[in-house]
Amino acid sequence: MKIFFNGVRGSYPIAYPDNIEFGGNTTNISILGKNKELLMIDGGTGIRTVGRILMQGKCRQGQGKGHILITHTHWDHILGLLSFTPFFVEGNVFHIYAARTECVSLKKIFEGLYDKDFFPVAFKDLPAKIVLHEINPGQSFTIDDFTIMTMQLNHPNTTLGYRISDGESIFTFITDTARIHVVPLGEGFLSIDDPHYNEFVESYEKRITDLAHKADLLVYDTHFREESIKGREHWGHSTPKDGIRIAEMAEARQLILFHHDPDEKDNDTREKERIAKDIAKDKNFDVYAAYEGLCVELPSLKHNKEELNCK
Amino acid sequence: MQIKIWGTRGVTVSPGKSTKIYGGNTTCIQVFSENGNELLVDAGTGIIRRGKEAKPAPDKRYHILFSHTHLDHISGFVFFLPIQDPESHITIYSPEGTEKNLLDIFENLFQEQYSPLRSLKNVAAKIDFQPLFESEDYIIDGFKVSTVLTDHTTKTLGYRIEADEKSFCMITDHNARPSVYNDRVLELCKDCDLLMHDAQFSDEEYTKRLSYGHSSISLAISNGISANCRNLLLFHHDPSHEDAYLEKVEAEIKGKKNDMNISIAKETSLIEV
Repeated sequence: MKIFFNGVRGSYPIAYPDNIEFGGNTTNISILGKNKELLMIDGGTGIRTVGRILMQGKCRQGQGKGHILITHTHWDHILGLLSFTPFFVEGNVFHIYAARTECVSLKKIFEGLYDKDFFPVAFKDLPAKIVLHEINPGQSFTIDDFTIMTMQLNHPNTTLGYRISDGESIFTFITDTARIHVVPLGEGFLSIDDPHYNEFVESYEKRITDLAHKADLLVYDTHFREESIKGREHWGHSTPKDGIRIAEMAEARQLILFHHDPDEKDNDTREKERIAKDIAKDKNFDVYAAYEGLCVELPSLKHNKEELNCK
Repeated sequence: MQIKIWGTRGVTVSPGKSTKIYGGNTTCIQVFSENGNELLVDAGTGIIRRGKEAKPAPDKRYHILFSHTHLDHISGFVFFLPIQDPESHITIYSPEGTEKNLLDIFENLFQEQYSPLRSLKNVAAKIDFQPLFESEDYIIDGFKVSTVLTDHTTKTLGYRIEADEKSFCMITDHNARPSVYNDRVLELCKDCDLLMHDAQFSDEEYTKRLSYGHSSISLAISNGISANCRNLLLFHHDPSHEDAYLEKVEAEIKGKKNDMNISIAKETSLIEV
């Protein structure tokens, strides 16, 4: 399995000279399985890069297909879909998977994204065929050769964490999520003063550890550093320390720090990585900060700067 | 009058080392008058940087004119820091007569499935809405603001802003093909000191994308000439246009003899009108 990081920034995209090394596009990951099948995670602004590459191959003739797993539908995880060129070519087929929520259907959410006051083309008028799949948190399913497991993370509304296996290696993707022992944020989570809250935390931690169990690669939300999370614990994000703790409990082989704060300049992200490496120096896994253009090969853990090739 | 450019890009952000010079953030312009008043035009991602890096508006009183509400012109508003300050008062001006009223459009922007703020009601600042009509004159915070309907895919206003006996016109998003819309745009921009004009496409791209509601670089220049503007700034750069391309275009333009001063808009530049 090859994993490409096309957008690693949290909250909103930034185009400043101080953020060029790690990159300013918001969340998008593309994954090539052992038989070259294509799976993507999230439609942040990083997805435009994938669209451009796909348009050099089958998508140009309207013979492309792909699957997009959505963690949740906050702007930074879907806005890039509006400039994902393969959606504008008839014949292409894309499947989008996201959490089922109580109050609003996935179709309504996508119609709202393509609302005529926001964008010139309505969702129903997109030339490509888009098939929406609502996923119940905890549900497992298969896409081509991938087996996918899900859980609800600790973030406003319903956010999904994913464990993706192609039979050879395991990749776990956990963003956006906050410290469960500090503040519950997920839809339907117990309130912190509930008498059963401790049990809830225990079962949540068991689920998250299972999701990342012996993963060849764990990507974890490290939006904040220890100094920047103070007073913002309820914003729905974590720190490298939190990621290291989960990676250790889950016996992951490698941890990648992800969803960098847009207020973080390249120097800050480098410092965040250095501190994380220091904390994890006696652990059995390596820690790196994600950057735009990074490609990780599993199970070998080889790191490259490589462009996705979907011809 | 001065203008500060916080975002030059159209359609979507394009961060990275190949857009470092001309910038990768979407549309946002700040206009200052000599007495310190300010107007903002559009709230693409450039407005986030204005919120963080520039000092607050006088009395934290913000006036934001929107050309229209497509996401590359409003998505930065969700992360504009002054909206989190209860002492801020923001008036949003936008074309009237879209299907939904302005309040509903902005409510949708902050809906809980899209924004962690969950609702426009959770925005700390005081926000009010003022629809603007086409071909009208208004006085906003001491600026004279005149409007024109542009040729775009949704109801979009171009603006002429006057203060200190200077005039600045901002025409985005607009297809400057011959039309009654373009005639009115030319009339609005007549003899202005600075025109900022949609120049998203190369001539070749333009012929393939006639229905997109944007101009080519050549059409923008010909509008500048026809309206007898003193200075022309080309902007709303296509996200695929990297620095090397825009530098080449700028050198070609500057190599020709022009009656007006033509430049390509660069993010963070401050221009004396």
